[in-house]
Amino acid sequence: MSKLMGWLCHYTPVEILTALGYTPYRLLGRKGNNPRAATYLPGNLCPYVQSCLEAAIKQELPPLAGVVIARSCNAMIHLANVWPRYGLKGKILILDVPRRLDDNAVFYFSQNLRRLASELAHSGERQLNEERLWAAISWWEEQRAAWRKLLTCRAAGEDPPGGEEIMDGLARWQTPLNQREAEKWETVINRLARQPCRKSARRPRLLLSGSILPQELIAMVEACGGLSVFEDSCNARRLLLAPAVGAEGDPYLYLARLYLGGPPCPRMVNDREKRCRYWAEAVDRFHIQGVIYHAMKFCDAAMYDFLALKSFCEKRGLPLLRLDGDFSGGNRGQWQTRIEAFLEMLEVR
Amino acid sequence: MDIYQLLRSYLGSTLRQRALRSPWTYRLLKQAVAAQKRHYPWQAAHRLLLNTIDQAAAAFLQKGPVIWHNVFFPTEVLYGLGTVPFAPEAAAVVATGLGIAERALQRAEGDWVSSEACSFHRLAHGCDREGYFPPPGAVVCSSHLCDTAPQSLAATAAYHGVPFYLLDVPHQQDDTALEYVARQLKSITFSLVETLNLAWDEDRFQAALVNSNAARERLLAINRLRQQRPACIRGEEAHSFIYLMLAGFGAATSVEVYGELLTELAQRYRDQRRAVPEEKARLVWLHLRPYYPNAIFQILEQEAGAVVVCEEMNYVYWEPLDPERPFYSLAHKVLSHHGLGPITRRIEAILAMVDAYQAGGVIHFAHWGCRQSTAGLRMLQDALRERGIPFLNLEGDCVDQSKYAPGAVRTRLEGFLEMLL
Repeated sequence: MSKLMGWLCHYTPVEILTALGYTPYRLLGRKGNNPRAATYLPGNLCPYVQSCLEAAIKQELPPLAGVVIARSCNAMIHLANVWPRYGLKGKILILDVPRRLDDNAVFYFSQNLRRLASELAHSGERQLNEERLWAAISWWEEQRAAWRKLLTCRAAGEDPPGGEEIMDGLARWQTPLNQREAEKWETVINRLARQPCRKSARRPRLLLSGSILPQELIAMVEACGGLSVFEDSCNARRLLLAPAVGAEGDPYLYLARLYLGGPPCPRMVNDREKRCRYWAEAVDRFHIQGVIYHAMKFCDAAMYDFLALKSFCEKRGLPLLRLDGDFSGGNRGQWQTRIEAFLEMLEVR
Repeated sequence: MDIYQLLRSYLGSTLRQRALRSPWTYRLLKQAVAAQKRHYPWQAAHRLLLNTIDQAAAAFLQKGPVIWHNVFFPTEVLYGLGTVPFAPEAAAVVATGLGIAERALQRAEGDWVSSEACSFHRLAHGCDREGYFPPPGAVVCSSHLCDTAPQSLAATAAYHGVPFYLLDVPHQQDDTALEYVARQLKSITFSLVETLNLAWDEDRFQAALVNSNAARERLLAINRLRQQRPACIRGEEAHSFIYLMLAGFGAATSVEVYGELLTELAQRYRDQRRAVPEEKARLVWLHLRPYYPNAIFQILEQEAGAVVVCEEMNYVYWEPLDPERPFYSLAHKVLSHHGLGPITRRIEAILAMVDAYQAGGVIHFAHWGCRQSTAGLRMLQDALRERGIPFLNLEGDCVDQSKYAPGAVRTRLEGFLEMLL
C-alpha cells in the first residue's frame, strides 16, 4: 500500500503526515488544458485546482494513499466537493483553515489539526504519539532552515543560484516519491548550493509574487535577462515557515501557530499589514529593483492582493508588472514580450 | 412613477453625488413614493421602499455610525448596537437601477479591479470611489460563501482608514466551530462598541434578536403559503423582498414588512387571486436575478405561466435565536447556512425546496464571478437529474447590463420551457 499522502494548500501541516508514517506529496498541477476537470468544475474557477483534478482523473499522479484538502479558499472548497466523486480513490481528509491569526483562531485550528491526525491515524493506532510529532516538527524545521539559509544567500548579492534552479529544487523537495527520497533533502539543497552560477548578479533583481508561481514563468524571466531573487508564493518562499514564537507544550497548538503565523497568503485579509511588511523586508534585504506579479486567473484573493502590492510599489517607487496566467502553459508569447519590455525599462532606470 | 427615474434625474443634475447627502432628496423621495401608495401591487413592497429610503437617508446623512457589512454577516449585531448598517452589495443593485453602473464599473476597471471579480463588488468599489456611497465608520465582513467580499471590504476599510473586522466562518458545524464563531461575534461586537464609542445596551441588543425571530416567523409563514397551489405572488415580485434577508434581520421595520406581506398574501390565497392566469409550471430559483431591465420573468411567468414559487435566498435555514445567548445563537445561525460545508448540504436543501413547493423545475442564475454558487453545479445537476427534475443554468450577470444578451436568454428559456411544459 502506498505511503504517499497528497496535499495541496501550503497550510497543510506536513509534520502530521510525516509523524504518521506518510510521505507528503504536493500536488503541483500539470501543464496543458484540463478538459475533463472542466466538465466537473466551471471554467472560471482556479486553474491550479482544475489542473490538480485533471491530473487525478487522468491518473497522472503517483499512487496516493489519500489526499488532504485544506478548505482554505472557495476553489479548494469545491475541489473537496468533487474530489471524492470524480477524483481519486483513497482517504480524503478535509481541513478547515482559519483566515485570521489570534489566540481564538490558533486554538480552533489546533483542534482541527488534532482531528486530522486522528482521522489519518492507521487503524489500531488511534492516537498519534506526541513525541513522534515533535520529532517530525524538528525534522521539517531542519529542512526549512536549510532552505532559508540557501535562499538568504541571494540577499547579500552573492552569485546566487538562480530562481529557476531554486524553484526546480523546491518542486522536487515537495514531491518525493517515497520516504527514502524525502530523506535526501540535504542532497537537493547541497547540490543547489554547489551549483556554479551562470547568471550574473548584476542582472535586474526581481521579486516575483502570486498565489502559486509557475516554474516556467521564473525560467522565462531569467531567460530574458532578469534575476529572480525572491519568490513570494505558496510553492516557494511561503513554504519556509520560521519557527513559531513561544514554545508551546502542545504540538498541535505549536503547529497551528506555526502555520497561521507564517508568511501570509493573500487569503489572510486581516494580515494585509503584515503582508506589506513582508514585502518591505524582502525589497530591502534582497535589493529588489522590480516586481512581477503573477495573477492566477479567477483567484479572488490574488486579484485584491495585486491591488495591495500595486499600492505598496507605488509608495516605494518600484516598477511593477502584472502577468495573468492560467497555469496551463499558455500565454507564453505575450508574457515574453511584456517581460522583455519590463526588463528593458529596468535597465534604463 | 418610476422611483429610479426620479433619482436618476437628481443624480444626473449638477448636484450629482451631493444630492445623496441632502435631506431634501429623501424628503422629496418619500413624499413621491408615499403619494403613489395605491399604485403598488403589494403594500408590503411600498412599505419596504419607504423603509429603505429611511435607511439610505440615515446612512448618507450620517445619522449614526455607518457600518458596512457583507450580505452574509448577521445584521442583528449591527441593529442591536443601534448603528446604521450599509450593505454595499445591496447598494450596488440600486446603483444598477440608477443607471450609474457603467460609470462605476469603469472606475473599478481604472483602479485595476479585475474584471474576473464579482461585479457586485466591482460596482460597489466604483460607486464608493466615485462618492456615491456613504463613508463607513467601520467595516465588518464574514468569510463564508464568498471569497471576494472579505477582500473587497478589507480594501475599502483600508481606503477609508477605518477598522475592519473579519468574522471567520469555518465549514464544520460542530461545537468547536460554534465556540470559535461565537467568540468572534462577541469580540467584534465589543470592539465596535469601543472603537465607535457606542453605548452598550443589552436590552436593545436582545430586542434585535427578538425582531429577527419575529421576522423569521413571518417569513416562514409566507413560505408556507407559497407552497400552496396555485401561486398568488410571482417570483419577480417576491424577489424584491430578498433585500430583507441580506440586510434587514434584526430591524423592527423588517418585521413590519414581512407582517404586511403575510397579511396581503394570505388574503390573496383566500380570494384565490392567482399570480398568473394559468399556472403551468412551478419553479425554484437559485442564487439571485439580474437587477437591470430584462425579459426573464416576463418570458417565464407572464408568457409561459411558469411561476417562480421559491427563491433559494428566501429559504429559512436557521433555528430561532435565543436572546439570552445572543452570540451562540447568532453563531449557530451563521453556521447553519446550507451553502456552507459539503455541497451535499446545499443539494439536500434544494431538493427539500423542490418537494415542499411542488416545483417541477429549477433555474440557477449563474452570476459571473460568483464561484461559490456556480462551482458545485455539476453535482447539483446530477442530483436533480437522478430525480428527473429539469434544470437550467442561466449564465449572466446580476448587475452588469452589458453582459445581458436578450436573444440568447430567450432561446435558452424557451428551450427549457419546452422540456418542462
